[in-house]
Formats: sequence, C-alpha cells, structure tokens
Amino acid sequence: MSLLEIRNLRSVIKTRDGEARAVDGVDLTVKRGEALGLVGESGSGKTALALSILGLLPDGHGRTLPGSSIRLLGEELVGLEKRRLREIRGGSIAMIFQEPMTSLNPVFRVGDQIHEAVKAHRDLGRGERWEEVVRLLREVGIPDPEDRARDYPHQFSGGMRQRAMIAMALAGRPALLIADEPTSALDVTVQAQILELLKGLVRKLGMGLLLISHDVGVVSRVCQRVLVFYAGRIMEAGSTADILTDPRHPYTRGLLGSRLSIKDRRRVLRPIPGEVPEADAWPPGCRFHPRCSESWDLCAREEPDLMEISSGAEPERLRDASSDPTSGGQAAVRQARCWLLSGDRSRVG
Amino acid sequence: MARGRWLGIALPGLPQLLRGKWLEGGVALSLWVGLLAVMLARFDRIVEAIQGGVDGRVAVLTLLLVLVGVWVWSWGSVREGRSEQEAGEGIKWGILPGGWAAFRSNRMALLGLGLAISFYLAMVLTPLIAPFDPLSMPAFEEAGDMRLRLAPPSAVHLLGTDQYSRDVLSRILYGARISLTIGFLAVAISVTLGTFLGAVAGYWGGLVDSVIMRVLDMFMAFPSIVLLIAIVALFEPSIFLVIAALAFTQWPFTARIVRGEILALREREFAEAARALGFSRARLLLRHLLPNAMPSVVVVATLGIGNAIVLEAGLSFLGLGVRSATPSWGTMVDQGRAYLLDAWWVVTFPGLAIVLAVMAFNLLGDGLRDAMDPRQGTRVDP
Repeated sequence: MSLLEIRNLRSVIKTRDGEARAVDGVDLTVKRGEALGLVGESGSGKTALALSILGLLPDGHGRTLPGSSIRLLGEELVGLEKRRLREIRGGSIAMIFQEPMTSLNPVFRVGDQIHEAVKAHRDLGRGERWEEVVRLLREVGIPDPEDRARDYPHQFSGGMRQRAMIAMALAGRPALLIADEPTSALDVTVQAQILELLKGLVRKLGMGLLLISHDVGVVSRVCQRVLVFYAGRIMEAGSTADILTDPRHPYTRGLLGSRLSIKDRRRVLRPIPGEVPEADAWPPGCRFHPRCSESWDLCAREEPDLMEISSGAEPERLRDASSDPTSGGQAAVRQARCWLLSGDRSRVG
Repeated sequence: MARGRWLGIALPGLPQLLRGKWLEGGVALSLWVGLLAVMLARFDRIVEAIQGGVDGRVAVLTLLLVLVGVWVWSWGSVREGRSEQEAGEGIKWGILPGGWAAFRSNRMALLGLGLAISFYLAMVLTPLIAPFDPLSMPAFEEAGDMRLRLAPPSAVHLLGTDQYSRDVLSRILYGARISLTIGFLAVAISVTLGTFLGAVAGYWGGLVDSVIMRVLDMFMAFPSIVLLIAIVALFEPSIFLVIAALAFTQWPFTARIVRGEILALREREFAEAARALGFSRARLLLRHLLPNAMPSVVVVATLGIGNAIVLEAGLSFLGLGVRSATPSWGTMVDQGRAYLLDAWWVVTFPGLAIVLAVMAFNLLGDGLRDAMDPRQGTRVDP
C-alpha cells in the first residue's frame, strides 16, 4: 500500500469573482521512505495542494471539491471528521513551512512548543515527554539541546529555527512530512544543511517526504522523483535524473533554463517570459501555451493529457506500469502534458 | 566589597547605591528607611491595628513583608553581586520584547511605576500612616474649637482641614482606597470581558464577529460618561454598582484592540504551523494567539486604570458616585468646591491626588507600550 495516494484532487479558493481552481485534477503517490519533489513557480498552486492534504484550506475561503480522493495509508482524508483530522495533523502527517523566522510562536520557549506538540500526539508521562523534546532537538542537530530548549525563538538563528520546526514536526512521529519551501528563506549554506538533514531523516525514519520548492536544485538534492507543477496541474513527472538531464516539457526546460549555475557561467539565462496567470483565469487549451515558445494552434484549442513517454533508449521499460501512473517499478514513469509528445509529429511545424 | 556587604545588613540598598545601581539601591533604601520610620513612629498604632479590624492586620502584614522582602533582596543581590555584573545581560522577558532594559531607560515610565506602587502601598498602609481618623470632627465635639474648621495646612494638619474640621491628608489617604480599588477592579473586569469578547470576535469571525462588533459600536456611539450616568442613576448607588457600571462601559476599548490583534495574529505563520500540528481551536486561541496579544492588553489595562479613576471622580463630583462615610477623591472635590475661594486646600489636594494617580498610570502605560513594541510609536486611545 502506498503511503499517500491522491486521485483527481481538485481544490478551489474563493476570490472576489468566484472560485479559482488552484489545484485541478492532481494524481500523485508517495511511498514509504520516498522523497517526492514538487516543483513550480509561485502561484502555481503548490501550497494549496499541501494545505488540501491536511484539510487546512482556510475555512470559508477554500475547499476541496467532492470527487477528490486523498488516502493516507488507505484512510480517506477528504470529508473526514474534524476530530480525526486534527489527530492526523501533526500525527501521521506533519508540515513545515517556509518562514522559520515566524513559524515559531515568539512568546514561548522553543522546548515548550515542541513539548506541546509531543503532548498533543503522544501518550507519554511528563518526564518522558521532556526527554523526548531533548531527543528530538538532538535528532535535528541542535547542539546542547538541554540548554537550547530553554531559549526563546528570537535567540535562535534562522537555520536553528527551521531545525526546531522540523523537531516539532517529528514530535508526532509522522508517516509523511510535507515541507513547503523549507529552505527558501535561508542562506545557501544553511539551506544545504537543512536539506541534508531532511534527506537523512527520510532514510533513518522511513517516512515519506513531499518536498515543495520553486527551486529544481533544492528538490534534486533530496528527491528521487519530481513532479513539475504548473497552474494547478502536473506538467511533467519522472525521476530526478531524467527530469534534470532530459526535460521533455517546454515548461520544465524553461524552469531549468532559468536556473543559475556556477559551473557554466557563460550559459545564457533563458527565463520563461510572462508570469503564472491568476488561478481564476487559466487560459484555454494548454495552460502553459501563452508563455510557451513552442506552442502552435492546437495548444490554444485543446489541453493535452498527461501522457506517458519513453526516455528514448529503452521505451519498453515503462509500458508495464500503465495502471498507476506514478508508481512504476524500479524506474519512475515519465509523463508529460504536452502536444509535442503526442506522437502526432506531423502537426509540429 | 566587604564594607558594602556589612552596610547592607543595616541599610539594604546602600551597597547597591555605592556600586552605582542608583535605581535599585534608591528604591530599596528609601523603602527601608521610610517603612522603618513608620514602624517606629507609629508603634502604638501597629499594636492597635493588630487587635483591630482586618484592614489593620493587612497593613501590618504588608509592612513587615515589604521590609523583609527589601532586606532579603538586598542581601541576595550583594552576595551574587559579582556574577551578576559579569552576566550583565538583564532580564529577557517573554512578554516584553524590548525588555526590562527598554522600560528602565524610560525615566517617565519609571516615575509612573514608582508613583503607582506608592499609591497602592499607601492605600494598604493607610491605617498605620494616616495621622487622624478621617471621620472625626474635633470642632463639633464637646468643647470643640471652631477654628479647627477650614484650618490651613500646618504642622499638625499637613494639608489643612475641611469645613467639618476633618484632616484632609487622612481623608485623601482613606479616599485612595475607594478610588484606587474602584479603578483597579473596574479595569480588571472590563479588560477580562473585553479580551474575551474581542478574542472570540476576532478568531471566529463571521456572524459572531458581526454581532459582537455591532454591540460594541452601540456602546462606542455613546459618550461613556453619559452612559455611566444613566446606569448609575437607575440603581441604588453603591461601590459595586460604580465598579460594574465602569466595567460595563469600558470593555469595548479592550475588545476592539484585542480583536484587531487576534485578526492579525491568526494569519501569522506560527498560527498556521500550530494548525498543521493539529491543535484544537481553543488551544490555538488561548495558548498561541492570546499570549501574543497580551502586551496590548497590559497597556490598555494600565491606561484604563487612569481613565477609570477619572470617570469615578467625575461621577462622585456629580454626586452620583459612592456614598459612604469614607469619601472618594471625587466626592471630596465636590464637597469642598463651595469653599474654594476661602480654603483652597480642601479641593486642591484631593484634585492633585487624582491628577497624580492618573498621570502615574498613563506614564506607566506609555512606558510599557514603548518597551513592548518600539515600532508602535504613540497610539492607543482609551
């Protein structure tokens, strides 16, 4: 059984003129001990997807549409009663956020905050709980955890705070950890440390990780598999190596082309023109076509499906994993949502 | 070092003064000397007070506790003197991000704090320090001397006497009990109520918010003094009525500020993180949001005490306040105003007491606000 199985997830967020389809028909699977990356620009609906999983779309401002299915270890989360959902939040699924500076409550000691999370989700005595707090802090690599537990968040550096947030997230022994841009607000050196920490924890604790980032580089450091997300939809899926070396979707190529590289300083940056459209005004046809350099008339008329593609050399390898689009055997299935790959090459100019 | 230490046994605060800690040392020394003086000069009164009523015993107990407290603090601070100097970082108080250091550097705020504490101390110690019985009228006793009426300030009657020959200083001291108690209790109730309603409105939003805010608007649409007069005039006047009426008319100020704070706080990332950890709504509100709103509540409460004292004095001045044998400051101003031209001291000193008390709480409130959030500048209008 997969750890997390999402089928046809559709979530809307209320805007002034109606409802915006922030997440629009997403299928994904995370297995135990697997790190799945979710890459896309700001405004593409990555965070809405994460919040949907936890049922945390703000009350009255957003909801997950019926017909969506989110299964955690076989338990359906969509429409689950609130009490059980609260047990799952911070219990089976934990989440860490982008801003470690503001994600900790400024008026409580760090240890107290972690203790609160332990108390909420674990059945331990008082003394055991404090031992657990110290153990968690040590686990995430905070030196002198006994002393630092008595500090207030403002006495922690940014990286330390993110470590403390991770400790809090681990308090409930989650089966799945969702990390929403966990390193975007940190220095690069600290960024690398936090990513290594996450990677190590996934390996050590055998939990699943859904790592959300706008930075392909960040995701590639930790994840075996990557989903490229744009305008509420998955645009391309595949193993990290495949995506990095052989991107098939023009959007993925655009993302990679916008990346800075130290090795290749003469390479010209080719950013994607324009910006992500508003979620209540996705363009017709392929959602990426107005910004796509390779689009033609079909792209504006009709939206392509997420098509399975072979990575050239060994086409047969992928065929057998057709029923479950994201869980193919050893190698990850490659998929892309683009007419260029439809095989109907005659129409390409 | 050693010399300062031995001095500390007899005169707590002096070692600290010698070491340049003028604030702690000064406060400790003046408390020590002042209270010892009270104890020695009024020893007969202390004996009397212990045998007498509850307030006398409370006063004696407070006196002794403060004396012991000052001594113990001073001795402790002398003993750890060295390590403290080395640490030198000062208290980092969770609720005061700017810290005690920021508050300390504000002299006006310190003055306010000092005045406020003195007022409350004087209020408790009144049975020991008041020179006369606030109700005795020597001029009207057998063989009374009518010249004792409206006597100007003198060595015997430091602040003079009123038209019934009662000692003004004693009456002000006893009046402090009424005024300050009303101010404190009214604010305690109104702030509690306002915090609760404001937090609920801000957190739940929607219909609950609308209902609470419309009620609040109704309250704020009346000048609170008019509302107060209306409420007090409807019922039998008593100290509880005045407190209830003040609390009832003042809660919207707190509620409005707390609601705004909660609205902003619940969108903060740590609130989102707390939700993602599966904490219940009540827990989120009580443990995570309200503590972050406490600085504002403390400031509103402090400023509110000054405001409540003025309102109470105003009510009493209009003859609508507490009617009891012991006067409140407002009543004294009211009763003495007919003699303003002949005997200025009857009105001026209680008036001055009101001004000082209100000023103390306003300075303290301003100081707390600045210490808690330097960005906030000057704001708040209860």
